[in-house]
Amino acid sequence: MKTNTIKNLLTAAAVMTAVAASAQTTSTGYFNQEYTYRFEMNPAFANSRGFVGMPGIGNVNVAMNGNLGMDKVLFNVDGRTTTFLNPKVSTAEVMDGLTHYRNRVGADFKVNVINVGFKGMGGYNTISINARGNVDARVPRTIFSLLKEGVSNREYDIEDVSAKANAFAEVALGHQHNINGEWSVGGRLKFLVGAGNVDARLTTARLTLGQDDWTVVSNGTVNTSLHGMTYKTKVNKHTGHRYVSGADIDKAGVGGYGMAIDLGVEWKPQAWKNWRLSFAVLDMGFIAWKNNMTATTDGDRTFNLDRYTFNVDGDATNSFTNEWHLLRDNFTQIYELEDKGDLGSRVTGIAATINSGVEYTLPSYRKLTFGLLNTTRIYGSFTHTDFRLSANIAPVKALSGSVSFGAGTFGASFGCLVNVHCPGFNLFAGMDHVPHKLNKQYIPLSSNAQVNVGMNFLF
Amino acid sequence: MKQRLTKNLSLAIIGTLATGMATSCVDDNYDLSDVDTTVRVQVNDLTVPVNIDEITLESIFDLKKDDHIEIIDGKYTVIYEGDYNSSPINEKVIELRRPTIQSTHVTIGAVPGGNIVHYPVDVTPSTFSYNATNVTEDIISIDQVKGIVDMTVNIKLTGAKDCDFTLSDGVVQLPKGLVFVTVPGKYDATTGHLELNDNISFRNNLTFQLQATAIDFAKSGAVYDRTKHTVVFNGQIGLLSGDITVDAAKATESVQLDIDYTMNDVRLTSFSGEITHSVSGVHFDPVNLSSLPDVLRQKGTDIRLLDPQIYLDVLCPVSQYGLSAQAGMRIQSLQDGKVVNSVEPSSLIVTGTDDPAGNYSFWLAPSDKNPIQTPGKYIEFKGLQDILAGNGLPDKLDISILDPSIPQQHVTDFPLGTSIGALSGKYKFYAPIELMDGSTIVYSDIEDGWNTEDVDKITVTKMTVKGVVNTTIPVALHITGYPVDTKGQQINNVQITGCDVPPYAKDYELTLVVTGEFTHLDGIEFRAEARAEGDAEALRPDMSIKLTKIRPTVTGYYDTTL
Repeated sequence: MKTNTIKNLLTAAAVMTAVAASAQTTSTGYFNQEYTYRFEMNPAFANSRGFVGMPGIGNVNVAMNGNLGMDKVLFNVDGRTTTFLNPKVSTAEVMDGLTHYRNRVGADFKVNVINVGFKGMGGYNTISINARGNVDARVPRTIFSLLKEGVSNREYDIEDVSAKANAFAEVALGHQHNINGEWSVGGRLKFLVGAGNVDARLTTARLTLGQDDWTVVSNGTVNTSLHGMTYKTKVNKHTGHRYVSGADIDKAGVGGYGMAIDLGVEWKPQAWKNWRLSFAVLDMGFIAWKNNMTATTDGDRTFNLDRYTFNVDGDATNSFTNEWHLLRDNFTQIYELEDKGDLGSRVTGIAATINSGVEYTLPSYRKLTFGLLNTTRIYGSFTHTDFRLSANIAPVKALSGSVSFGAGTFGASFGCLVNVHCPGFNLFAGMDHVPHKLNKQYIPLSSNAQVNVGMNFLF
Repeated sequence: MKQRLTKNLSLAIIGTLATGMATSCVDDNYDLSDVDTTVRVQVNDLTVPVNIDEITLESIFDLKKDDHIEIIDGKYTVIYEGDYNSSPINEKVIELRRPTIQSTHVTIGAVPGGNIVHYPVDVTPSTFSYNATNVTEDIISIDQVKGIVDMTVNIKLTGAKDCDFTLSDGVVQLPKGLVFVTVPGKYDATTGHLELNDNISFRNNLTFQLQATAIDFAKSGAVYDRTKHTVVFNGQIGLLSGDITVDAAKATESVQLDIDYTMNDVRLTSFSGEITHSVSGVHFDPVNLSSLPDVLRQKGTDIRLLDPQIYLDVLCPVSQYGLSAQAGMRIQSLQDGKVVNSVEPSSLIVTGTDDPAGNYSFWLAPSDKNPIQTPGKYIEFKGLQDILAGNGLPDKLDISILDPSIPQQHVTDFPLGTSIGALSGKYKFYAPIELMDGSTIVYSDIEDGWNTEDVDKITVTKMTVKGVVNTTIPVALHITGYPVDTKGQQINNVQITGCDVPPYAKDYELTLVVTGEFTHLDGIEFRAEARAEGDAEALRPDMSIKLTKIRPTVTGYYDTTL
């Protein structure tokens, strides 16, 4: 029963991560001139035709990013899938696969509810209503070392364990404007309606397991902004300390409001007519949340084993039993968070993204272009960057395609995109990260995978 | 050519795109529907720093109210005390049963003598025999006994009527050796003759009632036969001689003389002579050692004490009769009902005769040094040092008084048939825990109850415990043990190879090593063995074991399934 539960959890976690992880854009399509949603990567880009996205499936972008894939934590032993903690999985096999100090998994999603693009006002205009969100988590390699290599007398610094989740809706109004034959600029103004935000940080978690003393220092905080949410608490029966044990959501609602802008520019120099340069900054904005439910250790909490001295006298105040209980009780305070209640409003960013691109059109065959794009997402400890080289071709009017090779924070990846754009109809499918392997349930073994499909009506 | 190249490149890109979309493959090795959730968390030579308070003997002994250990002069001292009594000392009374004595009947002819007529008496006395049986053999010999001897000699004359007789020069044969307060004449205890006062007038009947208060055995001819437990007192009684006269006018030719004798039962109430007596019923409650602290009562403990002592107070009731008493003593230690040790002092305990109140004190100890309390008469008792020795402390000590007795002595007026009281007194057993060479105290205990679902999944493959020991304890310590499972059984023959800590250890580095792999741990059974190397100083509460830098180092793992 318990095993089944674990299996189900594993499956659910993997599937949920993959399904929910909808990347907001497909970088492989950045240089594909007829890719309908280029304007989301750079508002200075305009489509050749107007469009209306099929509600809900105008642009479905399913992806996950990270450097901690399923194949890093699951192994096959004796014909069965097992976790990295299975004793038959060698320590070297596990630790050699975990090359990063910080192991990250993340997902962000954008569901286009309504998307309309049309020409006018000297440029190209877009109206979008999207649901967006992101989930990111980070665990240091030290945790795997602690669990797999075995606990020994050394220092385990497992700080920077953190997780963030953010969900909001946006209403975006975009305008692209051609200034002249060389320059075009664009911008999108976004009104944000926050659904919820969670920011959990274990800023300090240091286990110093010395020969002569053990010290554990912890410092963690969870800030949650979610309408109607309160922490559930329990009382430690030994210490009387009330600690956070869960959360309740009384009634969902709007958690906050915010604004953001996307700005972009594209330069098509006349002097180098085969080159195009583009730059965009996306999602420069914030959400002001109404509440800030805070659970925290309230600063550093320190547990020091040297403080405890056992007495063999069963009647002594520090008898083995009494001292053990005291030790246990004090240790629980290391990880028991206090409910500080609602500390008021808080403002969070929504993770700005910078896209810098350069495109070269093959003079001998102008239907073929090559592009280099850097995408950097600025999100605190979850910041990541990606350099992507792509080849793009539009052999006929109704069909274009791109292939890309990327390298960045989450390693190397291969991408591709096929875009059919007949008059009145657009269908595309693409990937920034082609998964090399899928598990039996078709979940990518790597944490990097993406599938982007969309159907739109062109006019 | 250039156009062809470009066309080929385009086809390659499209082909790659198509291939890319379909390059992914399914790896059946990763099947989330069938996950082996076996998990092992390893611990590698993990040293846990542990602090332990200084361990004093006070905390180890953990004395309770009824532990029979007190701190005397700063030393742990085993103390037991109690009292004792004998049965009352009571020598059985001697009963001399009344003899049946043949009466005398003679006819005495008249001898004229003028106005008076004489009837000369010349009679053979009757014999009597007092006998006593079941006489206590405590009486060795008798010089004298005391008791009321009542005798009646009733003389009756018939023949002459209504006349007064006069007895002159009368001599009555009485038992020999009697002691009278008053007699109507002069009694010779050696011959038993009572020479009556002159001219005793009487009419037909003359009665003599005599009462003796004692019998002098040497003079009386009474015979005490200790082997037959009998006393025989033979003799004669009668009117031996005398001259009975009567007025001639009223005389007859002869008179009939009838003499009846009566002697009562004699109850002898005391005696003087040689006596001996075995005192019975001297009882000491066993010393129950089960109430001693656990630390002293475990198998393997073998204690030889340097200076145990017994203080014995005696109240001896025979002292008032100038008698001394004596007894031996034996202390036996018993374990499971079997005698382990049996020790006796080197000499008897003998009371004196100088205190009529009979209060005497004795001090029994291996040496006459270092008395714990005001000592009485010293009696060497070397064997006392071994009384607690053996494999494990005895369950109890039986204290026996051997042959308590009044040795053969001469006594005066020792009462018979009356209790003179019991031999009684009290004792106090002190045993400072001052171990002799080779003594061993073994303390083992099981600390268990550790097993939980999680602990059961822990396997320890290697474990050592290091530390530094400082002790003020005058004995060497040897510590061993082994892990036990939930059934209390030793796990996989895993042994904790112990360490030896010398007496008065200074910064002694100890190492305990667990040999072998164990799991299903529920606790440990540890064994601490304290061994005296040479005669050791007494154990005191402030003696301590100070363990510092205790560093258990463990290698093992925790296996579970998620």
